[in-house]
Amino acid sequence: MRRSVVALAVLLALAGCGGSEPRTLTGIKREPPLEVGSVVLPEVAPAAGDFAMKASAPDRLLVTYFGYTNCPDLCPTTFAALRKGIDELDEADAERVDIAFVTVDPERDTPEVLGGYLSSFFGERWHALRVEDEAALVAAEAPFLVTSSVETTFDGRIAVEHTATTYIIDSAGTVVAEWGYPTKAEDMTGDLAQLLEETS
Amino acid sequence: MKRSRSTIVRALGVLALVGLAVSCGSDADEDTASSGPAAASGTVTVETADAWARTSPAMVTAGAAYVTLTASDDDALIGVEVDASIAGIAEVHETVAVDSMESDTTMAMGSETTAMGSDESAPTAMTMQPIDRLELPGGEAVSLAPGGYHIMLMELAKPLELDQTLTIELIFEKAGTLPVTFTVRDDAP
Repeated sequence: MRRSVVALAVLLALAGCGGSEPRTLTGIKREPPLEVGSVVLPEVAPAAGDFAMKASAPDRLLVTYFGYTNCPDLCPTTFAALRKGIDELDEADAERVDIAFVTVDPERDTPEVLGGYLSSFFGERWHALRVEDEAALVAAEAPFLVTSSVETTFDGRIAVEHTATTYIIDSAGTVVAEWGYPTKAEDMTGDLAQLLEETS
Repeated sequence: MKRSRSTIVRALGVLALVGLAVSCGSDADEDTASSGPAAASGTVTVETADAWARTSPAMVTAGAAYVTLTASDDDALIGVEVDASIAGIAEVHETVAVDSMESDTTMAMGSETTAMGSDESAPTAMTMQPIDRLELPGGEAVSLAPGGYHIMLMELAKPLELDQTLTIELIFEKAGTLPVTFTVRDDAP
């Protein structure tokens, strides 16, 4: 008993000396976490077919965002940070991150528009998800606690509201962290490196 | 769709004309120059810094431009204009949390104090709203920056490409019209 206490103390001391290890995640970890693996949406680019909201393998992570391509401020700011955040990872780690973008504005965001938009940010590591049926979109958003709306105002303006949170999902469909807006690129890098290590 | 812009333009017709006339004479350089048309307005000038616009992906018709403004005395940004060869419409917008719109509680620029999903409850939905005037207290730097105020460019004539420059005319209540050159970048300077 006593020996194990000493051993524990030594371990703790070592862990403390290790310095870099106990890093606090920037993203939010919910208790209990959101479970979104049962959400399935149509992927329209680059592949076509059903896409389940989970990472494709146990050692991978899926980063998901609900937005629209004509969003000039929050979405590209988030994606510029995410692009940089992923670029700063070791190449082997970066390879283990996929991105899913769910459009909340399917009328304007055709598969072609989505493809051009996402490849401009993320090369080839993205999946564009688009469902035209509003009820299906709402049902897909619910497990994420996401809300969105697209309304045309009296003067013909299209006003979009959407939750600007980024979700990191493991292969079980569990949201392992959420990034509110704004989250810095270096914090995304740190979180992803840490979460990838926990994942593998 | 062009209604709000033309309202501003009408309301400021005279001022804008004066500003334009003056700005023709001032070949001032944008990014850091202090180039307010002082002659038109008496004394107020506006300095601009970090003028940039974000690259816009192909096929996307909306873009955003950002700049930091410092007025020599109390002034207000009351409109923006852009040539049709760049975008059909330019407006000053503000990104806000949906539930703060009613109370006019706006997200402070550069501040990270707003909830925006940073607590354990459901994250707040965000949207943008046009604003008619942006107060510029004398001597105080006011930033149009991601997540806060921005110049929204709609109906982009063509994508905004890296390192390209574009001119946007900023219309101030007292300092008149100031053409500012924005450099297109992937991210904030």
